[in-house]
Amino acid sequence: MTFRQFAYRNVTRNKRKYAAYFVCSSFSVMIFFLCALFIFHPAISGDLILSTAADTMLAAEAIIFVFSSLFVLVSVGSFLQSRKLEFGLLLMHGMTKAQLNTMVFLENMMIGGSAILSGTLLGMLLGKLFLMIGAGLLGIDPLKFYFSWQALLLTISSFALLFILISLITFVLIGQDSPRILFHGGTRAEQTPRISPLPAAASALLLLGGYALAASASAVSVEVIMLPVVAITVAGTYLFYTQLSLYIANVLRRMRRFYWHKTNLIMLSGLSYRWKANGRMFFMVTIVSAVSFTSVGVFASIHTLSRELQLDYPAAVGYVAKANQAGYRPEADLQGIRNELERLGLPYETLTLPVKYAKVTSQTGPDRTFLLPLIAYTGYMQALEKAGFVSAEQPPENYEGLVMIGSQRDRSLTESRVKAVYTLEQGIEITEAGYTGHVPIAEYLLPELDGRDGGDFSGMVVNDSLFQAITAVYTDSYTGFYVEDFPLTSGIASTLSGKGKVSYESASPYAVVVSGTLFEIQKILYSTMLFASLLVGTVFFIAAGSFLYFRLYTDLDHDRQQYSTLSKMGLTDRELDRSVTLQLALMFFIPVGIAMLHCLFAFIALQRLFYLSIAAETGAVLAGYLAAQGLYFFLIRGRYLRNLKKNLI
Amino acid sequence: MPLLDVHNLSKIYEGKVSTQALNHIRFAVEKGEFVGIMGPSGSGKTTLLNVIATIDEPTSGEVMIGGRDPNKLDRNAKALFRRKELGFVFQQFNLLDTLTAGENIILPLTLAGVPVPEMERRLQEAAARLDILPLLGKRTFELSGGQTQRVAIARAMIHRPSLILADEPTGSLDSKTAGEVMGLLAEVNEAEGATVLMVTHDAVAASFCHRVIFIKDGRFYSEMYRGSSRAAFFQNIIDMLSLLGGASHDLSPIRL
Repeated sequence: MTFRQFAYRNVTRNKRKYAAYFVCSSFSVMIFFLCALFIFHPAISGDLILSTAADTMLAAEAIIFVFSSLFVLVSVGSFLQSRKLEFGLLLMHGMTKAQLNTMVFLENMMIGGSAILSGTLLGMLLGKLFLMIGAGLLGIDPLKFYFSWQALLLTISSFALLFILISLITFVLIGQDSPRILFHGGTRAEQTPRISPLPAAASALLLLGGYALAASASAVSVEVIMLPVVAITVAGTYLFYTQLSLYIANVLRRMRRFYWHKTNLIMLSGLSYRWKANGRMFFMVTIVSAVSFTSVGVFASIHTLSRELQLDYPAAVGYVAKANQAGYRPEADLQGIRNELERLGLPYETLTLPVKYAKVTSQTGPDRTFLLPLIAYTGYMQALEKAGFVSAEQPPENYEGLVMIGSQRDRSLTESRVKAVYTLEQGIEITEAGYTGHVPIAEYLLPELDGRDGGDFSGMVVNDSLFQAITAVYTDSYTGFYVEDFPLTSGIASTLSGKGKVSYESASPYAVVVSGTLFEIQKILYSTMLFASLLVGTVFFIAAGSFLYFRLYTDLDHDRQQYSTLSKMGLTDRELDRSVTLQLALMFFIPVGIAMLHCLFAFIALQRLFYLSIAAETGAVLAGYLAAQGLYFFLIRGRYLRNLKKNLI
Repeated sequence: MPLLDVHNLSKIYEGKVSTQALNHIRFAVEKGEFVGIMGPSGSGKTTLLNVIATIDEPTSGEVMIGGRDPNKLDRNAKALFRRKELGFVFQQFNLLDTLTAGENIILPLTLAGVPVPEMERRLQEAAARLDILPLLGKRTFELSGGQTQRVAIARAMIHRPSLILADEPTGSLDSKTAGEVMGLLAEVNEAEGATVLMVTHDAVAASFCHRVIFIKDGRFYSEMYRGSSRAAFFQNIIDMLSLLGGASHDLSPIRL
């Protein structure tokens, strides 16, 4: 037996120990490779809109890579920990430190190498399927299978680098312990963390505080408090696993009536032992799951997006011809749009409204507006009618106006906005009396009134007589093309705007918004993000499962001995099953449960940024994960119980 | 009627080479007796104990405990039988390391669903008897070997089983602690009237018994009663062991 054979047999005869680690590593390699295939696909990298999708995938690659490094590091660390006794034995028999390092290095490279190999092979097999699913999810034409050597090179070289680096790090992890200490590595003297009520209470406070902040966030504050709330919740979660949960277990253990009841004694003590040993792992699993739930949930709400766009872009194509632009003929542009719509066979209606700009000499409130865009009440009602909105809004009083909202999202901002009074140059004062119920003219087509708090309020609706009385500095002309099925307008007016919009603030003599194109771009962006987050989420999920599997496997011998003693003492099979099932269920579902709770509150906060409810999409994502976790739980439980009972009487 | 009646017990391990571990063993143990089983390595001591403990099934013959044959019960009923009627002391102690010493002791009572005040009372009683009151709150890895075995004895007797089965209880202890632990086991037997059946290699440990049964190659060989002097009994056991001709490590190096 050569040295390399020795290392090889160490790995292959411990298949079960490395199984989950190997599966997870090769799965990560596979996903990484598939993403690379996608990025380097000529149909993706060559397309203007789709290249943004490739950027998202690149980000996913980076996340997978960083996470895989962490995963491999933690896994290899715990493998080494569990083999201390073996290492001590080898050192006793005269293996040198250098040989031990070589052995561990060889073993790691064998697993890593085969993971890379199987991952890329699987990736090549599933490449076509993946590209089909990807194209389906993005709603683009099916992608031809294209094998790019760049993708292969990127995958192999980055993971080879990863495994080599981490194998080198293990030399430090093995440390300089003498064989005597390594021998004691096998015994289970616990390093019980100090549990005190103070950090436990702090954990509860942090979690509740984070939740309360998230739930009470308003649309304005949500962006500001996002990071602190995340930090608070992460800290609270860490303390929950390392302190609060153990504190609760201790309190339960003091309640003898409960703790000394039948199998509770075995169940609870076993559980709190595992909890102590795996607290940090549970913490990681929770945070990682919460992040993937939230991102998948957010990007799963694309359907919401189309409903939202319908409300925010009343006209499928909106066009504003700016006044006083030398040598510019808006009529040509408008005719071009009409021609395009007719060529596509889309029936449409048009509406043209004048938008007056009045000079403002002074105003109350924190902002300073120089030119106030105004439209007449009749025009507003016409715009709503054309868009198919129903409204019973009454014309504003004289010298009062309704602030136009730029998108439905702004409605949540209205409460915190200070209403202003504008004094026009001609001596008229206009007071902001309220807000319009709908969006008459889409965002980007009018200059924003005040941008301080992120709202897109864009001017005022005044009654017709006041509108007549106002002397305008100049008057723009807004034209809306109303189409029943707005996504069909994608690609229209591409000569006017490349990416679906030219905003009023730009230097061009017109402003235009094509909701179909915007929708298309947004949809592809969100779909890619959904796709990427699903992939990353799956990698996370499998890694979390692998950690649990490994922990259970390491403890198996110990558990077997414990349960064999118990069964000699008269523990029945049913009691054993129940105790084990309950322990495993808590280990599997508490981290996921907490992650879901985190995710729920994240959605409550994010809901402020979306006008429409995203509850259904979120629910579906969470249910999907729960189902997968449940399946995994039953699989592992069966295996574990079978192994546990192997040598039982 | 004897508490334990082993009747024509045989056990054959099937396999490529089948071995007869027990060959028509018969003996009886009266209630309150303290009986040792000795014999050279491979004589079938542990098999005998396992069959009595319902952990192993006999090939033929029967074991009656309190007038019942537990081997006729199904798996679940066997577990309940062990829980109620038997107490175990192991060579490797086999305490659960996730529990404290006190929790280990009351384990049989919790499984049986005894009310908490009753458990508390019995725990105090047993701990006082075995002199381990200060150890109750400690975790198993904080205890020495002798302390651990005392906790294990407390666990084996707390539910007042009809029979305590001890498998080499002094096997992992030094000779001084072994003597102390055996003294305590004998005291539990004396004061509580607990019936004890103990398998051992150790002649010193065996000298604490009322009677020692010798088996060789799975057969009953002879038996010996203590009489009044433990020292003389010990000497007799040593003589018997040399007659049995076990391996040399079966002989205790201690000479009186």
